Amino acid sequence: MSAPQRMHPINIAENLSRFFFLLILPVLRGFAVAIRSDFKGWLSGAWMDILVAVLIVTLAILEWYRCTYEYKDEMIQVKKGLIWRKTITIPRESIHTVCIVYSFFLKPFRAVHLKADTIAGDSRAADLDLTVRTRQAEEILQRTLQEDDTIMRRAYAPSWLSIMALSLMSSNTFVGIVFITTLISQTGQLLGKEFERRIIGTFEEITRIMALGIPPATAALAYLILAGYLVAFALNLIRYRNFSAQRQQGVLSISGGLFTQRHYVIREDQINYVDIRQSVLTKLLGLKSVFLNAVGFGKSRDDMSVLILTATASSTEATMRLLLPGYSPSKRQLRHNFGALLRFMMDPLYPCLGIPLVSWVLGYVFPGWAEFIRSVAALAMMPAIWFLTVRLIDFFTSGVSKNGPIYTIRYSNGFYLHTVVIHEDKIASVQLRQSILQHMDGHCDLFIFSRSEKTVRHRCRNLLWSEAEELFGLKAGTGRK
Amino acid sequence: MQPKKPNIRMLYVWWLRMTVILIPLGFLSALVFSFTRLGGLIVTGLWVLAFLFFFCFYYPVKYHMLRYYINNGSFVVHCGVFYRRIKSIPLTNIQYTSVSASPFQTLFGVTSVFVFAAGAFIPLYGIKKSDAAILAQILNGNKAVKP
Repeated sequence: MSAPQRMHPINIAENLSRFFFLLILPVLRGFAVAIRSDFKGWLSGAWMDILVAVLIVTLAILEWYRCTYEYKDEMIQVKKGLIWRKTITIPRESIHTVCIVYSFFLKPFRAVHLKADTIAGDSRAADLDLTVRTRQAEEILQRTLQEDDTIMRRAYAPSWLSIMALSLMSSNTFVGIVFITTLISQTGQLLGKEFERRIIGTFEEITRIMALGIPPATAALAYLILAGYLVAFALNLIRYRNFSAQRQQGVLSISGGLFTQRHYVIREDQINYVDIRQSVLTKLLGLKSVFLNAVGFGKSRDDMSVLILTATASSTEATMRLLLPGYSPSKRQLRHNFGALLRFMMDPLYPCLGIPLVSWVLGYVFPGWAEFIRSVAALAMMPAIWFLTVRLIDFFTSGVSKNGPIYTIRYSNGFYLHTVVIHEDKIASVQLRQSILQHMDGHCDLFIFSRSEKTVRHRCRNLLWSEAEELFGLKAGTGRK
Repeated sequence: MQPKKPNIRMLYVWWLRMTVILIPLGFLSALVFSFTRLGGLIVTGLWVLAFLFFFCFYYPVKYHMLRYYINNGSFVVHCGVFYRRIKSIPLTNIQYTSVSASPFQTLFGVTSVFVFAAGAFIPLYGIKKSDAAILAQILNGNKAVKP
């Protein structure tokens, strides 16, 4: 592929949305006419609306025509722009991750999105995003990360039970609620406001019937949360369907998805860290999920960042030895003292004590709403107690260790317990922080910033200052342990 | 590399900056609250306390805690007032450095050095201009350090 190539013509349709701002002209003209209530006047000026539409299509075609890409001399070069021409050149060695997205609406056109990412640039989007033919994308992928079909691969494919378990564990109610509200709103726009009102009215009616003795407003809130969770669960099932991960030499190949399939290729030496994640439920059941942090992997909201779906501890360890043999967690060497219990529990205690107190005060001030306030407080106490449980487990499990060049950090963040396995070369910064109280007993909090496009921080609480200094070689005139 | 302290003039920069900010603000707020004698007295008293706190305690402690060195392939900075902190970046992970000086720093001949890595950064205040250039060269080039 030495000659410059153009993107797939379907890119013209994608470019149309970039020039939709030009539609402001016919909209403004329509407003002006509507004010005057002059239909004939609007019709006589319709040529202007047609001209704007033709301009939008022309600009989209020109944008597609002026955009070319080329793989030459171990570099990908993209030239684009209508008036302001831009040439982006990315050397092959700088590319950490390549991703091919097989969207279901592009499949009939045999087109895919090819994304390549480096550690520089915008942390929210890939550095390179092209719409190309499937065959060309796979060719670029092979040339960029030099996959060799003749060398043996190690492969992992999870069972449907693992997919279900991960979807159960990682489903975010808020994402589901946003999806439902967007769906209802957009459907209303397409089919009319009456249809939207009917959906909402039906929901209200069902909630009233199934209130089961609790205030209808609280029941509506609870059912909305449940519906959001179920929708998020279904979306996750679709995302992780057909999931597989393979390792060949130093390259990991991860793919998955039902309607929109994604295929990632990541160089092992470009993995920032491995995150073994557990919730309270999976901790009690002895299950684990393994996530990867690498540049360009799992960047956008719809992406996946998982390597090993939820499985038993022994199965997870065996799969990690298969796919990432250099990333084995080691046993805890540095841990906090028993006196740090309050330090771990302080954050969850605020909502656990505050919510009942605030609900009592509000119930006293607004007696007519007391029942509703109490039921909302009861709902709010569930995540508070969940958070308290996570911190309690974290108290018994957190710590730091080192085995050769690999550090293992165990901590909790939000509602999850993390075991982060990171190579010392991927640590961007190490920081120790000691408060006045911690100074009295010689302890500190450890912060490790891992190498990435944006700031990612791992925090371990209440370690001994001298031990942490020694482990990370921070004392002047001393080396690392 | 032995631990080094920033130039004492950085303390003067902080004092001067604090004075320039606090005194006009204190004067303005006392003026606003001057409709009651007690209100004016309380507000003025609070500003005086704030001034004394920063002048006599906060900035001197901040300067006292500040020091930097290179150890075992990492650039290390000690800092902090209420929280004692150690911040380190491995030399191999340093992407670039930036040296800058505010007008007050230029007046006293000191600069600030900012060290950037992929995912972290460390600021270091109060380095003389000539020393800043040498430090930036060492950090960017990962060369052996002269004691």
